[in-house]
Amino acid sequence: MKKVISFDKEILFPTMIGEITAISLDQTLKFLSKSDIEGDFIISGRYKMTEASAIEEEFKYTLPIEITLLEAFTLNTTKIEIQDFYYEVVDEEVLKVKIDILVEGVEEVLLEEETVEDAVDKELEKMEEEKVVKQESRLQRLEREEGQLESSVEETKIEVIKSTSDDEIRENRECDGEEKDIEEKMTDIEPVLPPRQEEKEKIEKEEKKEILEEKIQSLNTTNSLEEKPSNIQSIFRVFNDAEETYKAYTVYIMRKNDSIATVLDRYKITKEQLEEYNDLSQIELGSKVIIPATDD
Amino acid sequence: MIRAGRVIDKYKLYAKRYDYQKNARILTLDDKQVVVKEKRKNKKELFNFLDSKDFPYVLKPINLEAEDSFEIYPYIEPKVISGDEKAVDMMYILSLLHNKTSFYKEVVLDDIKALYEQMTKKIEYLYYYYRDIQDIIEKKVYMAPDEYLLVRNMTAIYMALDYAKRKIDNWYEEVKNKKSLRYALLHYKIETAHFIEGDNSYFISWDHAQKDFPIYDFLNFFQSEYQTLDMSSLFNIYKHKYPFTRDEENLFFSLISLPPKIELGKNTYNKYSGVYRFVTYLNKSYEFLSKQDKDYQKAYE
Repeated sequence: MKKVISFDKEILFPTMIGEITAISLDQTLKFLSKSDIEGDFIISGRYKMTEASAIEEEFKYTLPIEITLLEAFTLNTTKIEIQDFYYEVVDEEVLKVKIDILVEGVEEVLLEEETVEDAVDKELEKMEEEKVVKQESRLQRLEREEGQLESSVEETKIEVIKSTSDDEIRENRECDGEEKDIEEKMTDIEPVLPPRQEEKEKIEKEEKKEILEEKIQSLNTTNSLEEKPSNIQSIFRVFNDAEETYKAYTVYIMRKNDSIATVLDRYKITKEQLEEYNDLSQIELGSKVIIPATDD
Repeated sequence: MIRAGRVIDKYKLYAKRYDYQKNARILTLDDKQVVVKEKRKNKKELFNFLDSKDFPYVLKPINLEAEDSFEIYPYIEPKVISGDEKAVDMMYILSLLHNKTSFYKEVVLDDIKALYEQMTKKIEYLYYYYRDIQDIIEKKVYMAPDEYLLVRNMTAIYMALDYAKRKIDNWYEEVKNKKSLRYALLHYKIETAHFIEGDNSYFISWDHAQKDFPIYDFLNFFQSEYQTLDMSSLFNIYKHKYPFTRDEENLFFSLISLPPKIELGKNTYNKYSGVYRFVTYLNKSYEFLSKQDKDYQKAYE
Protein backbone atom coordinates (compact mmCIF):
# COMPACT_ATOMS: atom_id res chain seq x y z
CA MET A 1 0.00 0.00 0.00
CA LYS A 2 1.13 3.49 -0.78
CA LYS A 3 0.05 6.64 0.98
CA VAL A 4 0.97 10.23 0.15
CA ILE A 5 1.16 12.73 2.99
CA SER A 6 1.56 16.44 2.24
CA PHE A 7 3.17 19.08 4.40
CA ASP A 8 3.12 22.85 4.09
CA LYS A 9 5.44 24.97 6.17
CA GLU A 10 6.35 28.63 6.16
CA ILE A 11 9.84 29.45 7.42
CA LEU A 12 10.55 33.01 8.43
CA PHE A 13 14.10 34.05 7.58
CA PRO A 14 16.07 36.43 9.80
CA THR A 15 16.89 38.62 6.78
CA MET A 16 15.36 39.48 3.42
CA ILE A 17 15.42 36.76 0.76
CA GLY A 18 16.48 38.12 -2.61
CA GLU A 19 17.03 34.80 -4.28
CA ILE A 20 17.33 31.17 -3.23
CA THR A 21 20.39 29.91 -5.12
CA ALA A 22 20.32 26.32 -3.88
CA ILE A 23 18.02 24.34 -1.63
CA SER A 24 18.06 20.73 -0.42
CA LEU A 25 15.60 18.58 1.43
CA ASP A 26 16.75 15.66 3.50
CA GLN A 27 14.60 13.51 5.76
CA THR A 28 15.19 11.17 8.68
CA LEU A 29 11.64 9.85 9.01
CA LYS A 30 11.28 6.38 10.53
CA PHE A 31 8.48 4.14 11.72
CA LEU A 32 8.41 4.04 15.50
CA SER A 33 5.54 1.59 15.58
CA LYS A 34 3.12 0.18 13.01
CA SER A 35 1.25 3.46 12.68
CA ASP A 36 3.63 6.08 14.05
CA ILE A 37 6.28 7.90 12.07
CA GLU A 38 8.78 10.28 13.59
CA GLY A 39 11.80 12.17 12.33
CA ASP A 40 12.95 15.44 10.82
CA PHE A 41 12.86 17.28 7.55
CA ILE A 42 16.18 19.06 7.09
CA ILE A 43 15.96 22.00 4.71
CA SER A 44 19.28 23.61 3.86
CA GLY A 45 20.78 25.72 1.11
CA ARG A 46 22.13 29.09 0.12
CA TYR A 47 20.43 32.39 -0.56
CA LYS A 48 21.17 35.97 -1.48
CA MET A 49 19.74 38.73 0.65
CA THR A 50 19.14 40.85 -2.45
CA GLU A 51 19.15 39.82 -6.07
CA ALA A 52 22.06 42.15 -6.77
CA SER A 53 24.09 40.72 -3.92
CA ALA A 54 27.25 38.82 -4.79
CA ILE A 55 27.47 37.17 -1.38
CA GLU A 56 25.51 34.02 -0.61
CA GLU A 57 24.36 33.17 2.88
CA GLU A 58 23.76 29.64 4.11
CA PHE A 59 20.64 28.44 5.87
CA LYS A 60 19.57 25.24 7.59
CA TYR A 61 16.26 24.46 9.26
CA THR A 62 15.15 21.26 10.93
CA LEU A 63 11.44 20.56 11.02
CA PRO A 64 10.51 17.84 13.52
CA ILE A 65 7.67 15.64 12.25
CA GLU A 66 5.35 13.20 14.01
CA ILE A 67 2.71 11.32 12.04
CA THR A 68 0.09 8.90 13.27
CA LEU A 69 -1.43 6.87 10.48
CA LEU A 70 -4.90 5.38 10.51
CA GLU A 71 -3.49 2.25 8.92
CA ALA A 72 -1.04 -0.16 10.50
CA PHE A 73 1.92 -1.30 8.42
CA THR A 74 4.07 -4.38 8.76
CA LEU A 75 7.27 -2.81 10.02
CA ASN A 76 9.93 -4.60 7.98
CA THR A 77 8.12 -3.72 4.72
CA THR A 78 7.88 0.03 5.20
CA LYS A 79 9.64 2.68 3.16
CA ILE A 80 9.40 6.47 3.43
CA GLU A 81 10.47 8.57 0.46
CA ILE A 82 10.01 12.08 -0.88
CA GLN A 83 7.49 12.17 -3.70
CA ASP A 84 7.72 15.88 -4.47
CA PHE A 85 9.22 19.00 -2.96
CA TYR A 86 8.81 22.56 -4.10
CA TYR A 87 9.13 25.99 -2.61
CA GLU A 88 8.37 29.65 -3.10
CA VAL A 89 9.49 32.89 -1.50
CA VAL A 90 6.65 34.95 -0.05
CA ASP A 91 7.04 38.68 0.67
CA GLU A 92 10.84 38.47 0.35
CA GLU A 93 11.21 37.04 3.86
CA VAL A 94 9.27 33.80 4.14
CA LEU A 95 10.27 30.53 2.52
CA LYS A 96 7.16 28.46 1.88
CA VAL A 97 7.94 24.78 1.40
CA LYS A 98 5.58 22.06 0.26
CA ILE A 99 6.63 18.47 0.78
CA ASP A 100 4.82 15.32 -0.33
CA ILE A 101 6.12 12.15 1.23
CA LEU A 102 5.27 8.66 0.12
CA VAL A 103 4.76 5.97 2.73
CA GLU A 104 4.95 2.51 1.26
CA GLY A 105 4.52 -0.86 2.90
CA VAL A 106 2.33 -3.85 3.51
CA GLU A 107 -0.78 -2.87 5.36
CA GLU A 108 -1.80 -5.28 8.05
CA VAL A 109 -5.39 -5.05 6.86
CA LEU A 110 -4.26 -7.00 3.83
CA LEU A 111 -4.69 -10.14 5.92
CA GLU A 112 -8.40 -9.67 5.36
CA GLU A 113 -7.87 -10.45 1.74
CA GLU A 114 -7.65 -14.09 2.77
CA THR A 115 -10.99 -13.65 4.47
CA VAL A 116 -12.34 -12.31 1.22
CA GLU A 117 -11.15 -15.35 -0.60
CA ASP A 118 -12.50 -17.67 2.06
CA ALA A 119 -15.78 -15.84 2.08
CA VAL A 120 -16.14 -16.20 -1.66
CA ASP A 121 -15.44 -19.94 -1.37
CA LYS A 122 -18.04 -20.22 1.34
CA GLU A 123 -20.48 -18.33 -0.77
CA LEU A 124 -19.97 -20.75 -3.62
CA GLU A 125 -20.45 -23.72 -1.32
CA LYS A 126 -23.67 -22.21 -0.09
CA MET A 127 -24.86 -21.70 -3.62
CA GLU A 128 -24.20 -25.37 -4.33
CA GLU A 129 -26.14 -26.33 -1.26
CA GLU A 130 -29.06 -24.13 -2.19
CA LYS A 131 -29.57 -26.08 -5.35
CA VAL A 132 -30.13 -29.19 -3.29
CA VAL A 133 -32.21 -27.37 -0.78
CA LYS A 134 -34.89 -26.61 -3.34
CA GLN A 135 -35.82 -30.24 -3.52
CA GLU A 136 -36.07 -30.62 0.24
CA SER A 137 -39.10 -30.24 2.45
CA ARG A 138 -40.33 -26.89 3.72
CA LEU A 139 -39.13 -27.70 7.22
CA GLN A 140 -35.63 -28.52 6.11
CA ARG A 141 -35.57 -25.39 4.01
CA LEU A 142 -36.39 -23.29 7.02
CA GLU A 143 -33.45 -24.80 8.85
CA ARG A 144 -31.15 -24.11 5.93
CA GLU A 145 -32.23 -20.51 5.62
CA GLU A 146 -30.15 -19.54 8.59
CA GLY A 147 -27.09 -20.68 6.66
CA GLN A 148 -28.37 -18.88 3.61
CA LEU A 149 -28.54 -15.63 5.49
CA GLU A 150 -25.03 -16.27 6.70
CA SER A 151 -23.89 -16.56 3.10
CA SER A 152 -25.53 -13.28 2.17
CA VAL A 153 -23.73 -11.66 5.09
CA GLU A 154 -20.45 -13.10 3.83
CA GLU A 155 -21.26 -11.81 0.38
CA THR A 156 -21.86 -8.34 1.78
CA LYS A 157 -18.53 -8.54 3.50
CA ILE A 158 -16.77 -9.12 0.20
CA GLU A 159 -18.29 -6.06 -1.26
CA VAL A 160 -17.66 -3.97 1.81
CA ILE A 161 -14.00 -4.84 1.73
CA LYS A 162 -13.80 -4.22 -1.97
CA SER A 163 -15.39 -0.82 -1.66
CA THR A 164 -13.04 0.08 1.18
CA SER A 165 -10.15 -0.44 -1.15
CA ASP A 166 -11.93 1.65 -3.78
CA ASP A 167 -12.20 4.54 -1.36
CA GLU A 168 -8.53 4.26 -0.51
CA ILE A 169 -7.63 4.43 -4.18
CA ARG A 170 -9.54 7.64 -4.58
CA GLU A 171 -7.86 9.13 -1.53
CA ASN A 172 -4.33 8.06 -2.23
CA ARG A 173 -4.25 7.66 -6.00
CA GLU A 174 -1.79 4.85 -5.36
CA CYS A 175 -3.61 1.73 -4.26
CA ASP A 176 -4.38 0.24 -7.65
CA GLY A 177 -2.52 -2.92 -6.63
CA GLU A 178 -5.12 -3.87 -4.06
CA GLU A 179 -8.03 -3.20 -6.35
CA LYS A 180 -6.44 -5.26 -9.07
CA ASP A 181 -5.92 -8.15 -6.64
CA ILE A 182 -9.54 -8.19 -5.62
CA GLU A 183 -10.78 -7.74 -9.13
CA GLU A 184 -8.58 -10.57 -10.27
CA LYS A 185 -10.04 -12.76 -7.59
CA MET A 186 -13.54 -11.82 -8.57
CA THR A 187 -12.94 -12.67 -12.20
CA ASP A 188 -11.24 -15.89 -11.16
CA ILE A 189 -14.34 -16.91 -9.29
CA GLU A 190 -16.84 -16.25 -12.02
CA PRO A 191 -16.05 -19.17 -14.31
CA VAL A 192 -16.40 -21.56 -11.35
CA LEU A 193 -20.09 -20.78 -11.17
CA PRO A 194 -22.23 -22.97 -13.39
CA PRO A 195 -23.89 -20.62 -15.92
CA ARG A 196 -27.47 -21.18 -14.85
CA GLN A 197 -26.91 -21.95 -11.22
CA GLU A 198 -26.19 -18.42 -10.16
CA GLU A 199 -29.23 -17.17 -11.95
CA LYS A 200 -31.38 -19.70 -10.14
CA GLU A 201 -30.02 -18.66 -6.81
CA LYS A 202 -33.11 -17.71 -4.87
CA ILE A 203 -33.17 -16.40 -1.37
CA GLU A 204 -36.43 -16.14 0.38
CA LYS A 205 -36.53 -13.60 3.11
CA GLU A 206 -37.87 -14.47 6.48
CA GLU A 207 -38.54 -12.63 9.67
CA LYS A 208 -34.87 -12.92 10.51
CA LYS A 209 -34.35 -9.51 8.99
CA GLU A 210 -33.45 -8.06 12.38
CA ILE A 211 -30.67 -10.59 12.90
CA LEU A 212 -29.29 -9.79 9.49
CA GLU A 213 -29.29 -6.07 10.14
CA GLU A 214 -27.45 -6.62 13.39
CA LYS A 215 -24.83 -8.65 11.58
CA ILE A 216 -24.48 -6.02 8.89
CA GLN A 217 -24.06 -3.33 11.52
CA SER A 218 -21.38 -5.29 13.30
CA LEU A 219 -19.63 -5.80 9.95
CA ASN A 220 -19.66 -2.10 9.25
CA THR A 221 -18.09 -1.33 12.59
CA THR A 222 -15.36 -3.91 12.13
CA ASN A 223 -14.50 -2.51 8.73
CA SER A 224 -14.71 1.06 10.12
CA LEU A 225 -16.43 2.36 7.07
CA GLU A 226 -17.44 5.98 7.16
CA GLU A 227 -19.52 5.84 4.04
CA LYS A 228 -21.37 2.87 2.69
CA PRO A 229 -21.12 2.41 -1.04
CA SER A 230 -24.43 3.08 -2.65
CA ASN A 231 -24.82 -0.35 -4.30
CA ILE A 232 -24.58 -2.00 -0.89
CA GLN A 233 -26.98 0.52 0.50
CA SER A 234 -29.38 -0.41 -2.22
CA ILE A 235 -29.21 -4.05 -1.18
CA PHE A 236 -29.91 -3.06 2.40
CA ARG A 237 -32.64 -0.74 1.29
CA VAL A 238 -34.41 -3.70 -0.18
CA PHE A 239 -34.39 -5.33 3.22
CA ASN A 240 -35.41 -2.13 4.97
CA ASP A 241 -38.25 -1.29 2.60
CA ALA A 242 -39.68 -4.75 2.61
CA GLU A 243 -41.00 -4.41 6.09
CA GLU A 244 -44.16 -6.36 5.59
CA THR A 245 -44.19 -7.78 2.10
CA TYR A 246 -41.59 -10.37 1.24
CA LYS A 247 -40.67 -11.37 -2.26
CA ALA A 248 -38.41 -13.99 -3.68
CA TYR A 249 -35.62 -12.73 -5.89
CA THR A 250 -32.77 -13.92 -7.99
CA VAL A 251 -29.23 -12.61 -7.75
CA TYR A 252 -27.50 -12.24 -11.09
CA ILE A 253 -23.79 -11.43 -11.43
CA MET A 254 -23.06 -9.11 -14.33
CA ARG A 255 -20.63 -10.60 -16.83
CA LYS A 256 -18.86 -9.54 -19.97
CA ASN A 257 -21.16 -8.25 -22.72
CA ASP A 258 -24.05 -7.97 -20.27
CA SER A 259 -26.09 -4.79 -20.19
CA ILE A 260 -29.16 -3.73 -18.27
CA ALA A 261 -31.20 -4.33 -21.41
CA THR A 262 -30.01 -7.95 -21.71
CA VAL A 263 -30.82 -8.60 -18.05
CA LEU A 264 -34.31 -7.10 -18.46
CA ASP A 265 -34.84 -9.21 -21.51
CA ARG A 266 -33.58 -12.40 -19.90
CA TYR A 267 -35.78 -12.13 -16.80
CA LYS A 268 -38.74 -10.49 -18.54
CA ILE A 269 -38.97 -7.63 -16.09
CA THR A 270 -39.28 -3.89 -16.57
CA LYS A 271 -36.56 -1.35 -15.92
CA GLU A 272 -38.68 0.21 -13.19
CA GLN A 273 -38.91 -3.11 -11.35
CA LEU A 274 -35.14 -3.52 -11.55
CA GLU A 275 -34.54 0.06 -10.47
CA GLU A 276 -36.63 -0.51 -7.37
CA TYR A 277 -34.06 -2.98 -6.06
CA ASN A 278 -30.83 -1.75 -7.62
CA ASP A 279 -28.90 1.44 -8.18
CA LEU A 280 -28.53 1.15 -11.94
CA SER A 281 -25.82 3.81 -12.15
CA GLN A 282 -23.54 1.64 -10.00
CA ILE A 283 -23.86 -1.53 -12.02
CA GLU A 284 -20.63 -2.72 -13.61
CA LEU A 285 -18.88 -5.97 -14.47
CA GLY A 286 -19.12 -8.32 -11.49
CA SER A 287 -21.94 -6.37 -9.79
CA LYS A 288 -24.70 -8.41 -8.19
CA VAL A 289 -28.07 -7.46 -9.52
CA ILE A 290 -31.20 -8.30 -7.61
CA ILE A 291 -33.90 -9.60 -9.94
CA PRO A 292 -37.33 -9.47 -8.29
CA ALA A 293 -39.45 -12.53 -8.97
CA THR A 294 -42.27 -11.87 -11.42
CA ASP A 295 -45.79 -13.19 -10.82
CA ASP A 296 -45.61 -15.76 -13.57
CA MET B 1 7.05 26.33 -9.65
CA ILE B 2 5.43 23.45 -11.47
CA ARG B 3 4.88 20.20 -9.58
CA ALA B 4 6.67 17.20 -11.00
CA GLY B 5 4.56 14.64 -9.13
CA ARG B 6 3.10 13.03 -12.25
CA VAL B 7 6.49 12.30 -13.84
CA ILE B 8 7.93 11.19 -10.50
CA ASP B 9 5.04 8.75 -10.11
CA LYS B 10 5.31 7.53 -13.69
CA TYR B 11 9.00 6.68 -13.41
CA LYS B 12 8.86 5.83 -9.67
CA LEU B 13 11.50 8.42 -8.82
CA TYR B 14 10.83 8.49 -5.10
CA ALA B 15 13.79 10.19 -3.53
CA LYS B 16 15.62 10.01 -0.26
CA ARG B 17 16.98 13.48 -0.79
CA TYR B 18 15.90 16.40 -2.93
CA ASP B 19 18.17 19.21 -4.16
CA TYR B 20 17.36 22.21 -6.28
CA GLN B 21 19.94 23.90 -8.44
CA LYS B 22 18.20 26.77 -10.22
CA ASN B 23 15.26 25.04 -11.91
CA ALA B 24 16.69 21.54 -11.87
CA ARG B 25 15.64 19.03 -9.24
CA ILE B 26 18.35 16.55 -8.29
CA LEU B 27 16.78 13.44 -6.81
CA THR B 28 18.84 10.99 -4.78
CA LEU B 29 17.26 7.57 -5.19
CA ASP B 30 18.27 4.25 -3.64
CA ASP B 31 20.76 3.33 -6.36
CA LYS B 32 21.32 6.45 -8.46
CA GLN B 33 20.79 10.15 -8.83
CA VAL B 34 18.68 11.77 -11.53
CA VAL B 35 17.96 15.33 -12.58
CA VAL B 36 14.37 16.30 -13.30
CA LYS B 37 13.86 19.46 -15.31
CA GLU B 38 10.85 21.13 -16.85
CA LYS B 39 10.59 20.45 -20.57
CA ARG B 40 10.47 23.67 -22.57
CA LYS B 41 10.59 22.19 -26.02
CA ASN B 42 10.88 18.86 -27.74
CA LYS B 43 14.54 18.29 -28.54
CA LYS B 44 14.26 15.01 -30.37
CA GLU B 45 14.92 16.60 -33.75
CA LEU B 46 17.87 18.57 -32.39
CA PHE B 47 19.52 15.52 -30.85
CA ASN B 48 18.97 13.54 -34.04
CA PHE B 49 20.67 16.33 -35.97
CA LEU B 50 23.62 16.33 -33.56
CA ASP B 51 23.85 12.53 -33.82
CA SER B 52 23.92 12.81 -37.59
CA LYS B 53 26.83 15.26 -37.25
CA ASP B 54 28.58 12.85 -34.89
CA PHE B 55 28.70 15.34 -32.03
CA PRO B 56 28.70 13.24 -28.86
CA TYR B 57 29.02 15.92 -26.20
CA VAL B 58 25.31 16.09 -25.50
CA LEU B 59 23.48 14.88 -22.45
CA LYS B 60 20.18 13.42 -23.61
CA PRO B 61 17.16 12.90 -21.37
CA ILE B 62 16.24 9.34 -20.47
CA ASN B 63 12.65 10.00 -21.48
CA LEU B 64 13.44 11.74 -24.79
CA GLU B 65 10.84 9.72 -26.67
CA ALA B 66 8.05 10.23 -24.15
CA GLU B 67 5.61 13.14 -24.21
CA ASP B 68 6.26 14.10 -20.58
CA SER B 69 6.21 17.62 -19.22
CA PHE B 70 9.52 17.02 -17.47
CA GLU B 71 12.83 15.69 -18.73
CA ILE B 72 14.81 13.18 -16.70
CA TYR B 73 18.59 13.22 -17.06
CA PRO B 74 21.17 10.95 -15.47
CA TYR B 75 23.14 12.83 -12.85
CA ILE B 76 26.78 13.33 -13.83
CA GLU B 77 29.11 13.71 -10.90
CA PRO B 78 31.26 16.70 -11.91
CA LYS B 79 35.04 16.59 -11.77
CA VAL B 80 36.66 18.88 -9.28
CA ILE B 81 38.41 21.36 -11.57
CA SER B 82 38.82 25.12 -11.60
CA GLY B 83 36.46 27.35 -13.51
CA ASP B 84 39.26 28.43 -15.89
CA GLU B 85 40.18 24.85 -16.72
CA LYS B 86 36.54 24.02 -17.35
CA ALA B 87 36.12 27.08 -19.58
CA VAL B 88 39.16 26.08 -21.67
CA ASP B 89 37.72 22.57 -22.20
CA MET B 90 34.39 24.13 -23.05
CA MET B 91 35.98 26.31 -25.74
CA TYR B 92 37.39 23.23 -27.49
CA ILE B 93 34.04 21.48 -27.46
CA LEU B 94 32.19 24.63 -28.53
CA SER B 95 34.51 25.16 -31.49
CA LEU B 96 33.96 21.50 -32.39
CA LEU B 97 30.19 21.97 -32.29
CA HIS B 98 30.42 24.96 -34.62
CA ASN B 99 32.88 23.21 -36.93
CA LYS B 100 30.68 20.15 -37.24
CA THR B 101 27.43 21.99 -37.77
CA SER B 102 28.53 24.93 -39.97
CA PHE B 103 26.86 25.49 -43.28
CA TYR B 104 26.50 28.31 -45.78
CA LYS B 105 23.20 29.87 -46.59
CA GLU B 106 22.22 32.34 -49.28
CA VAL B 107 22.10 35.94 -48.10
CA VAL B 108 18.61 37.31 -47.71
CA LEU B 109 19.24 41.02 -48.11
CA ASP B 110 16.07 42.00 -46.25
CA ASP B 111 17.18 40.05 -43.17
CA ILE B 112 20.62 41.60 -43.27
CA LYS B 113 19.17 45.07 -43.69
CA ALA B 114 16.72 44.50 -40.85
CA LEU B 115 19.54 43.46 -38.52
CA TYR B 116 21.64 46.47 -39.56
CA GLU B 117 18.76 48.89 -38.99
CA GLN B 118 17.94 47.31 -35.65
CA MET B 119 21.55 47.74 -34.53
CA THR B 120 21.89 51.35 -35.73
CA LYS B 121 18.59 52.31 -34.09
CA LYS B 122 19.69 50.71 -30.85
CA ILE B 123 23.03 52.53 -30.92
CA GLU B 124 21.30 55.83 -31.60
CA TYR B 125 18.75 55.22 -28.85
CA LEU B 126 21.47 54.36 -26.32
CA TYR B 127 23.43 57.47 -27.30
CA TYR B 128 20.48 59.76 -26.52
CA TYR B 129 19.54 57.71 -23.43
CA TYR B 130 22.98 58.14 -21.84
CA ARG B 131 23.20 61.78 -22.90
CA ASP B 132 19.91 62.48 -21.08
CA ILE B 133 21.12 60.63 -17.99
CA GLN B 134 24.34 62.67 -18.10
CA ASP B 135 22.34 65.94 -18.34
CA ILE B 136 20.18 64.99 -15.36
CA ILE B 137 23.12 63.94 -13.21
CA GLU B 138 25.25 66.98 -14.06
CA LYS B 139 22.48 69.36 -13.04
CA LYS B 140 22.47 67.93 -9.52
CA VAL B 141 24.37 69.78 -6.82
CA TYR B 142 25.16 66.60 -4.93
CA MET B 143 25.51 63.38 -6.90
CA ALA B 144 24.68 59.97 -5.45
CA PRO B 145 27.57 57.46 -5.49
CA ASP B 146 26.07 55.50 -8.38
CA GLU B 147 25.48 58.72 -10.36
CA TYR B 148 29.05 59.84 -9.80
CA LEU B 149 30.39 56.45 -10.93
CA LEU B 150 28.27 56.55 -14.06
CA VAL B 151 29.05 60.11 -15.06
CA ARG B 152 32.79 59.48 -14.63
CA ASN B 153 32.53 56.75 -17.26
CA MET B 154 30.48 58.66 -19.82
CA THR B 155 33.43 59.00 -22.21
CA ALA B 156 33.88 55.23 -22.23
CA ILE B 157 30.17 54.80 -23.04
CA TYR B 158 30.28 57.19 -26.01
CA MET B 159 33.50 55.60 -27.22
CA ALA B 160 31.94 52.12 -27.09
CA LEU B 161 28.84 53.32 -28.94
CA ASP B 162 30.94 55.02 -31.59
CA TYR B 163 33.03 51.88 -32.08
CA ALA B 164 29.90 49.70 -32.30
CA LYS B 165 28.48 51.99 -34.99
CA ARG B 166 31.66 51.89 -37.07
CA LYS B 167 31.88 48.11 -36.83
CA ILE B 168 28.26 47.50 -37.79
CA ASP B 169 28.65 49.84 -40.78
CA ASN B 170 31.70 47.83 -41.87
CA TRP B 171 29.78 44.60 -41.44
CA TYR B 172 26.86 45.82 -43.53
CA GLU B 173 29.14 47.07 -46.30
CA GLU B 174 30.76 43.66 -46.49
CA VAL B 175 27.75 41.37 -46.31
CA LYS B 176 25.40 43.26 -48.60
CA ASN B 177 27.54 42.22 -51.58
CA LYS B 178 28.01 38.64 -50.41
CA LYS B 179 26.09 35.73 -51.85
CA SER B 180 26.15 33.47 -48.84
CA LEU B 181 26.92 33.64 -45.13
CA ARG B 182 28.07 31.06 -42.64
CA TYR B 183 25.62 29.64 -40.12
CA ALA B 184 26.00 26.99 -37.42
CA LEU B 185 23.94 25.24 -34.83
CA LEU B 186 24.27 27.33 -31.68
CA HIS B 187 23.68 26.29 -28.12
CA TYR B 188 22.72 29.92 -27.37
CA LYS B 189 23.14 29.64 -23.59
CA ILE B 190 26.84 29.01 -23.33
CA GLU B 191 28.11 29.30 -19.79
CA THR B 192 30.24 27.08 -17.60
CA ALA B 193 27.18 26.02 -15.58
CA HIS B 194 25.80 24.43 -18.76
CA PHE B 195 28.93 22.41 -19.36
CA ILE B 196 29.50 19.31 -17.25
CA GLU B 197 32.72 17.39 -17.05
CA GLY B 198 32.47 13.96 -15.51
CA ASP B 199 33.72 10.78 -17.17
CA ASN B 200 32.86 12.53 -20.40
CA SER B 201 32.05 16.17 -21.23
CA TYR B 202 28.53 17.32 -21.95
CA PHE B 203 26.64 20.44 -22.87
CA ILE B 204 23.29 20.63 -21.11
CA SER B 205 20.30 23.01 -21.34
CA TRP B 206 19.72 22.94 -25.09
CA ASP B 207 16.37 24.69 -24.78
CA HIS B 208 17.46 27.75 -26.78
CA ALA B 209 19.51 25.97 -29.44
CA GLN B 210 19.02 27.27 -32.98
CA LYS B 211 20.83 27.87 -36.26
CA ASP B 212 22.31 31.35 -36.54
CA PHE B 213 25.54 33.26 -37.12
CA PRO B 214 28.21 31.43 -35.09
CA ILE B 215 29.32 34.58 -33.23
CA TYR B 216 26.33 34.55 -30.87
CA ASP B 217 27.53 31.65 -28.74
CA PHE B 218 30.76 33.33 -27.69
CA LEU B 219 28.94 36.65 -27.37
CA ASN B 220 26.46 35.14 -24.90
CA PHE B 221 29.28 33.45 -23.05
CA PHE B 222 31.16 36.77 -22.82
CA GLN B 223 28.10 38.62 -21.56
CA SER B 224 27.33 36.06 -18.87
CA GLU B 225 30.82 35.41 -17.51
CA TYR B 226 32.94 38.50 -18.29
CA GLN B 227 33.36 39.17 -14.56
CA THR B 228 35.04 35.92 -13.63
CA LEU B 229 36.98 34.60 -16.64
CA ASP B 230 39.79 35.83 -18.85
CA MET B 231 37.75 36.14 -22.01
CA SER B 232 40.58 37.18 -24.28
CA SER B 233 42.61 34.00 -23.79
CA LEU B 234 39.47 31.87 -24.08
CA PHE B 235 38.59 33.60 -27.34
CA ASN B 236 42.10 32.89 -28.63
CA ILE B 237 41.56 29.16 -27.97
CA TYR B 238 38.16 29.24 -29.62
CA LYS B 239 39.18 31.18 -32.72
CA HIS B 240 42.28 29.01 -33.15
CA LYS B 241 39.89 26.11 -33.83
CA TYR B 242 37.09 28.10 -35.38
CA PRO B 243 38.29 31.45 -36.79
CA PHE B 244 35.66 34.05 -37.56
CA THR B 245 35.47 35.49 -41.04
CA ARG B 246 36.05 39.23 -41.46
CA ASP B 247 32.36 40.09 -41.57
CA GLU B 248 31.63 37.87 -38.56
CA GLU B 249 34.38 39.61 -36.63
CA ASN B 250 32.91 43.03 -37.40
CA LEU B 251 29.46 42.00 -36.20
CA PHE B 252 30.93 40.25 -33.15
CA PHE B 253 33.07 43.23 -32.10
CA SER B 254 30.16 45.60 -32.64
CA LEU B 255 27.90 43.54 -30.40
CA ILE B 256 30.56 43.08 -27.72
CA SER B 257 31.23 46.80 -27.65
CA LEU B 258 27.57 47.80 -27.45
CA PRO B 259 26.92 48.69 -23.80
CA PRO B 260 23.67 47.39 -22.32
CA LYS B 261 20.89 49.74 -21.35
CA ILE B 262 21.46 50.39 -17.69
CA GLU B 263 18.50 49.57 -15.48
CA LEU B 264 18.64 51.55 -12.28
CA GLY B 265 17.33 49.65 -9.26
CA LYS B 266 14.80 50.84 -6.75
CA ASN B 267 17.09 51.53 -3.83
CA THR B 268 20.58 53.06 -3.58
CA TYR B 269 22.23 49.68 -2.98
CA ASN B 270 20.69 48.13 -6.09
CA LYS B 271 21.36 51.26 -8.14
CA TYR B 272 25.02 51.27 -7.19
CA SER B 273 25.51 47.55 -7.82
CA GLY B 274 23.77 47.94 -11.21
CA VAL B 275 26.06 50.82 -12.22
CA TYR B 276 29.09 48.92 -10.91
CA ARG B 277 28.23 45.88 -13.04
CA PHE B 278 27.70 48.15 -16.05
CA VAL B 279 31.05 49.88 -15.62
CA THR B 280 32.77 46.52 -15.17
CA TYR B 281 31.29 45.40 -18.49
CA LEU B 282 32.60 48.55 -20.18
CA ASN B 283 36.08 47.94 -18.80
CA LYS B 284 36.10 44.23 -19.66
CA SER B 285 34.85 44.79 -23.20
CA TYR B 286 37.44 47.59 -23.65
CA GLU B 287 40.14 45.22 -22.41
CA PHE B 288 38.93 42.42 -24.66
CA LEU B 289 38.58 44.54 -27.79
CA SER B 290 41.93 46.28 -27.34
CA LYS B 291 43.57 42.83 -27.36
CA GLN B 292 41.53 41.32 -30.17
CA ASP B 293 41.01 44.15 -32.68
CA LYS B 294 43.94 46.06 -34.13
CA ASP B 295 41.58 48.79 -35.42
CA TYR B 296 40.41 49.40 -31.90
CA GLN B 297 43.97 49.81 -30.69
CA LYS B 298 44.74 52.27 -33.48
CA ALA B 299 41.63 54.35 -32.91
CA TYR B 300 41.63 54.65 -29.15
CA GLU B 301 45.09 54.14 -27.78
